[in-house]
Amino acid sequence: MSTSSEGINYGPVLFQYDLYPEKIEDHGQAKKVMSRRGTFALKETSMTEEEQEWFIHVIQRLSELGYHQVVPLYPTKHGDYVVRSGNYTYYLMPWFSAEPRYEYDKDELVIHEIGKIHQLTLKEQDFSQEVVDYSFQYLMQRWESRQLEMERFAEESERMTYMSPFALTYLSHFHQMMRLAEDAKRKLRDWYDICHSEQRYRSVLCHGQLSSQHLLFSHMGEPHLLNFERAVLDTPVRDLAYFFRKAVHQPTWTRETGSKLFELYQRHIELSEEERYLLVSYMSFPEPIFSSIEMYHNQRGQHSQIELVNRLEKRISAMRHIREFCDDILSLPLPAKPEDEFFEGEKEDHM
Amino acid sequence: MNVIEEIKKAYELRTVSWKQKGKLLDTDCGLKRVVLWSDDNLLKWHVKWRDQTGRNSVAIADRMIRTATGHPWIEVNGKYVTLHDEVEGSYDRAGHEKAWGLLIGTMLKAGLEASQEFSTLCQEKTYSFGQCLSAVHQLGKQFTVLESVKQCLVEADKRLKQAEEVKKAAGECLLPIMDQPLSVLHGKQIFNILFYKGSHHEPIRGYLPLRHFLRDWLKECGPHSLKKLLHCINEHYSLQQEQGLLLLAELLMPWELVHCVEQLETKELAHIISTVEQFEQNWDFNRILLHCYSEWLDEKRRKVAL
Repeated sequence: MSTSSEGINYGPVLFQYDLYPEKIEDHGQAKKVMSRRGTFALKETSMTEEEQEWFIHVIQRLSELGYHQVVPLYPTKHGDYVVRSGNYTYYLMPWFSAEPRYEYDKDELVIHEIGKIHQLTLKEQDFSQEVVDYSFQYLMQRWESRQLEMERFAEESERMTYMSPFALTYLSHFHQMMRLAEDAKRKLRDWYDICHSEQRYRSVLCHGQLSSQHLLFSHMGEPHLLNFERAVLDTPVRDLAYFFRKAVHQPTWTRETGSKLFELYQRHIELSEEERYLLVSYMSFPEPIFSSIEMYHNQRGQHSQIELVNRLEKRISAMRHIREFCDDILSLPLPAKPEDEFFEGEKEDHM
Repeated sequence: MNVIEEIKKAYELRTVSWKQKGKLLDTDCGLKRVVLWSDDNLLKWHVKWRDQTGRNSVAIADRMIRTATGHPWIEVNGKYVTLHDEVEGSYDRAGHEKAWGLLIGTMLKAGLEASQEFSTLCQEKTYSFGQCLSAVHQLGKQFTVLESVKQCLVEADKRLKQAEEVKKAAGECLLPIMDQPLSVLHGKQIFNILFYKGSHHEPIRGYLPLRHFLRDWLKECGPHSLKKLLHCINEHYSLQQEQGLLLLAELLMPWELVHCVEQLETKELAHIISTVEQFEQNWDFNRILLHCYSEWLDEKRRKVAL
């Protein structure tokens, strides 16, 4: 829902664009600016100077690579792409609110677009033992400490004379969550072992916050991605794990939806064996359950028990979807190795 | 070529007409000022310092508006044409030290960074005490009114020597280059932004424009506000080390004397009287400025020591 954005002075920012608004509507971090010169989206965010430079570089680099499905940034009258005002950074875009031109599912379009970006920016990195070791140890330690917190909360809950509905729900799924955590750690170990033996690692430009909310349609109904503020060079798995973790929450999600989206992505880039293990490990660790416990501890006064329980149950149910989806990912045939392709060709010749 | 048509095309403006021929344009994006340049190096310097002084929403210089292709100027009939915002309301001084401090601090920073790149553009002002001395003695024989100027000569000589010593203490370091004149009157206000209207003159190397600016600030806002301003400049451009000493050396230089001697060349009594009065006033204000600045530097040092 949008409300009129009163009391906040955007004048100094909009002056940089020579925009004198007739009305400004608040849409969360985006402000809808209506002026004689058109309707625009003014994004309000927090970025350091370094982050600003990287953000602009990412948008420009994608354009140089021939990828134009990004919601464009408008420069100020002085040629800057962002404006700093107080503690915030602002940038201006066209206001996109059209309907899609094609009858595709929004998630499919997101996967298709990110597949294109990953394909354009894919780079085999020089294998670094140190980097892989560090990533493995960092994640392992983080997960172990999270697991410890979850165990502690389970013990605390068991000691209560009158258990809260939240604690009761949590305890009834605790062992299942621990199994997921152990499985995630095993898969991470598999990723690490294969990385070691294959001595390979590849990176792409990750969007950083990939979700269907960050896809809009231009006036022509063309899909455009936005919000590259957290873009980073990393394994393609980063975007996929973020995306699927959110996507499983949708009421329309089914096991088939997941497989279809994953296959759609694989048309652009086929994940290697170790990347699949990494994706499965990222997704299967019950991080959302851990955040629910944190929320229960820190914001108990702000939410009712019923809200907290609902939230936890939704996350537990999402974890179940993830579990099924992870099984499907691992059961799909692996991409052919170069030597396999060589023998395949030989066979055909003989035939 | 028609300038107005070229501007309209290059900046993709919908409506453009002269509000003041050759100077001010009325456009669909508001009032815009047109500036003509003949020297591209001078223009590049002005683009650079304004760009570096304009990346915030508190205090900005009047940067060159970009064309549709992102260029800061267009070429018409062998001249370079730039477009700027035209802002009229003046920006307050006392109580707004933070905004002014940010403006001057970033200007100084930009000036120091560009110091070598644009060194050939700079004007250098030299000081000859000997010339001042002989001019004052010669004129003093004809005009008794110059008595107060004569009385300042000893102190001027002392200040000049002190300035040289301070410069030596600061060592061999670069001086910033600055737009001139640097004036409080060039600060305009729009949407609570301090909008500084730059000149189209050649820059000057050193702190002379800042000295004039600080003196005017002192005259208008008093010593307390001046110290606050120095503190705010210091947040963006350190005055506590070598650059602070170089500013001190600039404040010690008895420029009032040179200015007075230059003005006395007309030899009309009325003009001479007003020049001397101006000299006396400036001499006194500069003393106070010097005192305030040294006091501020000492306070800073004491705070560091504590």
